[in-house]
Amino acid sequence: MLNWISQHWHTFWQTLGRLVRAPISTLLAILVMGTTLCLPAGLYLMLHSLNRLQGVIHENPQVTIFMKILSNSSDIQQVNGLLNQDTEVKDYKFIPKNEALKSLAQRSGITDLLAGLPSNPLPDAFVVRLKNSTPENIAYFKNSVLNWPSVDSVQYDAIWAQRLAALISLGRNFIILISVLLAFTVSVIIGNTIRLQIASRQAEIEVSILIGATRRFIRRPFLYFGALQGLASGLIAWGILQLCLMAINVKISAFSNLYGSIFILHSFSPSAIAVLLAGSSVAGWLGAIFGTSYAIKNI
Amino acid sequence: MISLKQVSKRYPGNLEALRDLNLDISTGEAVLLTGRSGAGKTTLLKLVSAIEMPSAGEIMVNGQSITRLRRSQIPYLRRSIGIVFQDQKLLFDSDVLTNVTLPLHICGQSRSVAMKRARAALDRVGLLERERSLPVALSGGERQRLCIARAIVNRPSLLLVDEPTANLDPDYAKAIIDLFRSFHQAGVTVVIATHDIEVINRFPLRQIHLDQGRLLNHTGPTTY
Repeated sequence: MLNWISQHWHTFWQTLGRLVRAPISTLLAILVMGTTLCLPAGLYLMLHSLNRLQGVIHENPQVTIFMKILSNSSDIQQVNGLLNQDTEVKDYKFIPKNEALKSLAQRSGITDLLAGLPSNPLPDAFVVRLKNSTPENIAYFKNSVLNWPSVDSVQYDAIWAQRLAALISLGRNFIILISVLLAFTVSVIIGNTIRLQIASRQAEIEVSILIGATRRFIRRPFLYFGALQGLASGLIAWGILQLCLMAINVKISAFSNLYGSIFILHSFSPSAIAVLLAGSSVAGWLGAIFGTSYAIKNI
Repeated sequence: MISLKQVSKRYPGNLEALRDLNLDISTGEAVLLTGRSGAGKTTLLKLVSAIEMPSAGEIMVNGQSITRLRRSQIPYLRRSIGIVFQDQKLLFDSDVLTNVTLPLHICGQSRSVAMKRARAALDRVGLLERERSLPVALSGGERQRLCIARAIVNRPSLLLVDEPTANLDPDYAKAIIDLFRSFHQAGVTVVIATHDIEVINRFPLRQIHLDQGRLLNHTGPTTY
């Protein structure tokens, strides 16, 4: 057992040495594969951030009831009373039109423009949270509220949240597909690199076979090579995306602030990093298996 | 140790390298495999080391039937045999020590044991001081001794040697032959394929004479 570990250890360092002794070709190869892996990993980050946004929306589903512009305080009192009586309502908050205008002015930074308006164009509104926020229940609540006096419209953020969920689900499938395809690409690149390496070390392999090396022994350093290159590609992809996040999040944050929200692309979680590195290593290892099984068979 | 029964080897194009060969070599015996170039000496060594398979007949080595060995078992048979190839088959971009440790790494020896045994083998053939040299920096005789060190480093019970003195001057050739003589005296079965009259005269052993793939058994020096 100790011999077996010692052999693997020796092969590992030998392979690492080979990689280090050819820095330019190693760097170019892992850069190509790293940038290839950036696409699925980057898409994952985007989806992960959208998923978190969706989670926030789902935790606080809100129904907004907009009153007619010309509604008066008795209309508001009436709706207030109806909401108070409704057993499905968990809690609600009245937002007067003046407060809404003030909030809009603060968030959008167009105070001067709003100040120039002849009258407040915003309606009074109620923001309602329901006890049971299933889509069916919300739809039922919405339909009944629309029949209340002086209610102009009812808006529920779940509509676009549902669209977002559908988009995320579609994106998830797309990422799986892209990941499989690009992992296959990485495998093919590594497999081909290894095939060329085997060709350049054919004499050494032939001698080893003649003096008693098994196919497994011959294959071992190439498998390490593939896995190490895959791992390095994963690290490169992670590094590139971290740099991109740092650069792009400043812009995204500024852009989302314009809409009064705080949205940034989130970085990799430790488990996502582990999956990225393990996945790229496995892709490299599989590429090495393909490369060696074909090339060694012909020696 | 080695037993061949009705062994024939045909190559594509109906080229018959060996024909109905029957042969026995006992454990601890040293024999010379003689004959002109193309007589089938190298083919016979390749069959015994399972580098090639016979077209007909059966070969037993160390009690194992080579013809019945599974492909995956062949490497393990080869590990018990030390082979000195006619074309040397050295790793020219690796140093002397790496060349000699290779069979030990293949057998799963730890690095420290491999180093120790490789240095002992190099010392045995007088190449210890050249352990960091590349094979290209060695003379013909030194390269041959390097091949011998690689062949003996695993302490094989059988040593197959193909034309060990080809292209060597007489002094180097004598030194090489003396090495094989010492291995034989240590109990190793040695089979030397040669057409070098000097070797045959200097190594008065049982001779297995091959002619056009057929066996002619006799002892004593021969002239061609």
